[in-house]
Amino acid sequence: MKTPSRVMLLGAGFVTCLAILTISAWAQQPVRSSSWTLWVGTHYTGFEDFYKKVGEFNRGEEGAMPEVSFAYRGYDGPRSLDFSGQFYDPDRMSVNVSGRASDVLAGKVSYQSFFRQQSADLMDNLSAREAVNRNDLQTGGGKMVTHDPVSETDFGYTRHRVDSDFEVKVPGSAGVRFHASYRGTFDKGDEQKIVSMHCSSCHQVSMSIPVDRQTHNVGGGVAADFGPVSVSYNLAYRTFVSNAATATAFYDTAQNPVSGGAGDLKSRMNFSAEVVPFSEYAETQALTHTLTASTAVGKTKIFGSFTSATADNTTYDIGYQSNGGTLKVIHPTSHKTKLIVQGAYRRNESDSYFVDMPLWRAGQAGGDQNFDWTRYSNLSRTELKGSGEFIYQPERKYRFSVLAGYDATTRDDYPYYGADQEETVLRGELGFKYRPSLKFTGQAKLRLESIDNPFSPYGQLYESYGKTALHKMPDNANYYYFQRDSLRYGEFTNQPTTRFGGDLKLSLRPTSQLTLGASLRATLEKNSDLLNLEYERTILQPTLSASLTPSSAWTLYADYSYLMDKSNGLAVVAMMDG
Amino acid sequence: MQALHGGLTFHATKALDLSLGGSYTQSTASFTAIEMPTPADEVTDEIPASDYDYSTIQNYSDLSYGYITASFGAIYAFSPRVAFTLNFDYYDLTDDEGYVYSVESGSLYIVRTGFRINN
Repeated sequence: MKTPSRVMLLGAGFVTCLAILTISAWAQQPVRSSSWTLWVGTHYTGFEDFYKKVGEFNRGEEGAMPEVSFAYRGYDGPRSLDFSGQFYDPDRMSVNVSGRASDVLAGKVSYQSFFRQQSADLMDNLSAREAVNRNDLQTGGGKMVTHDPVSETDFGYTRHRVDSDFEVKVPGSAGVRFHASYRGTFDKGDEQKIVSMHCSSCHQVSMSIPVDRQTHNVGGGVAADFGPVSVSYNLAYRTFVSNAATATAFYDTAQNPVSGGAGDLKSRMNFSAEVVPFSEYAETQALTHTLTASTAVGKTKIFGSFTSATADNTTYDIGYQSNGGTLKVIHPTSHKTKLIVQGAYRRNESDSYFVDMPLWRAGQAGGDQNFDWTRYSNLSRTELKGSGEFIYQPERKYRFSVLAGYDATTRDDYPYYGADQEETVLRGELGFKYRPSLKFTGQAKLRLESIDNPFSPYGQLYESYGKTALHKMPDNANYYYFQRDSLRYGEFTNQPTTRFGGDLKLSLRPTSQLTLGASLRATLEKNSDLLNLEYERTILQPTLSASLTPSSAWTLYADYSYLMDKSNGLAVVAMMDG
Repeated sequence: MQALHGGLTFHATKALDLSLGGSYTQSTASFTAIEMPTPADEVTDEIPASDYDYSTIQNYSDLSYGYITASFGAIYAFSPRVAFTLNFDYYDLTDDEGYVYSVESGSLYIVRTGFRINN
């Protein structure tokens, strides 16, 4: 069984102990005031028809169940203690304790659990077989998609979550604060996994696999004020591990699904007639350092930050590193105008990974093809962002703003190794706010983005029919599917080259009893640079809201929202027989 | 997708508070008919057993869900320190199209009663 690192457990225990000690310190002295509430009762849960979706997070147990909840609050000046909890059913409980021992010491510990029920993919749509006769579509061909009956359909997991926070101000130096935190999530239950056998039969098998996942987050940091300069440092460390045994499945024997003939099928498969691990959870670790600083020079305010992060898949020794910073300057150019300049730079590097494959058709005539390959991640990139915003407010009730920005993303190895493909975005925004009185507020924004070279799959979208463009391999009279990669062509993306949109928000309060609100968000995206399609996407999102309080006894409220997301695209159908 | 949500609270008497709430969410997704070209003769001649009728494949992607929630709550205070509470919550999902999980229509209700005591 895998376990989280000792450092992580020590950190988690340390933070939790500090928080508990803080809360205990509160109890050393009497309190001036306190209040408590106890609720004791029962709940009855009933279902009709298929309850797994409608009760995904709140299924509970069918029938009656006792329930109890409580809350306590005590305080005395800067000291306070809050204590609450609930028992809903054995899978849903919570306890929260938070305390402030003085104005320099505060802590919080909480526990919460819930059950998530998941539906099961019944795989009924995985039933297709090649026809052998075009006229009456009689099935019986060798190409098919099949599945075993799904025997187990109860899947779900209980999540247990523990949080603790601790904060202390250094006595005599009010500007220095330390904080530490821990969050752990523990999932236990069962989940559905589907094994896809090789394509001698396209055979799918559903299996129930135990869930035993743990995520630990430990953080800490310090913040201080030195005159006009404020600085902070934060560290965050996260681990993920699955303690459930890796799932395994018996892979079918490679053979013709109709005649049973083996031929050289086995030499074309990675697995045949053997037990193979699948759907493995990788153990991961992530570490982040963040430095921030802010100051004021005259009336100009300056904010800056630097973040350095690493993430590692320790199961397969793959790493990711990221370093970057931001800078923001707010400068009042006059008593009615303000200029905001922002910039950000980030460099991300993701390790490449070598995939070692067995020789294809090893030892067969015309075989021994080597399909080893190296995966280069398009997360390896350099990001640069910059913008300037000018705000003009001639009177309290009017406010105008104009923003211009430029973003650039350079992907080291996309679409091919060393390509350094660059995507750039020019963006602009106009804003207006009008608030003549407390009874009415109106806001409007218009945005325009021009994107050059948006991300797109490269040269692999379609496959030419036929085989005339293929070259035969030495000592082999046949053609194979992998050769058809050379017939692939075409690019298409759902990323736009132009994005135009706007927001409108209205708020009206005609009387002290009535509040009305309305808003509209609209976005139109377009890409006219594509060879095969003029891509368009339209998003419309209006909302309406109202609340009415005719008397101190009545409160009525209602809201309505609508979302339309419509786009066009290309349908590419994969045909059997290539 | 569209969602309507509303409710009210009513302080009926000094001892009785009532609340009522509800929501309706409708989510749909679909493709329009897909305009497929007629396969070239080279394709149909070489693969004579294949069926090239794509007139209904867009229907595979249709999704349509209606989700209703309703809630009622009442608190009756016997004294400033003791009260009786009653809550009813109802959830109903209508799945008009079904998906790989089959048709997921179903409903769930929860009735809660109890006594609240405070100092």
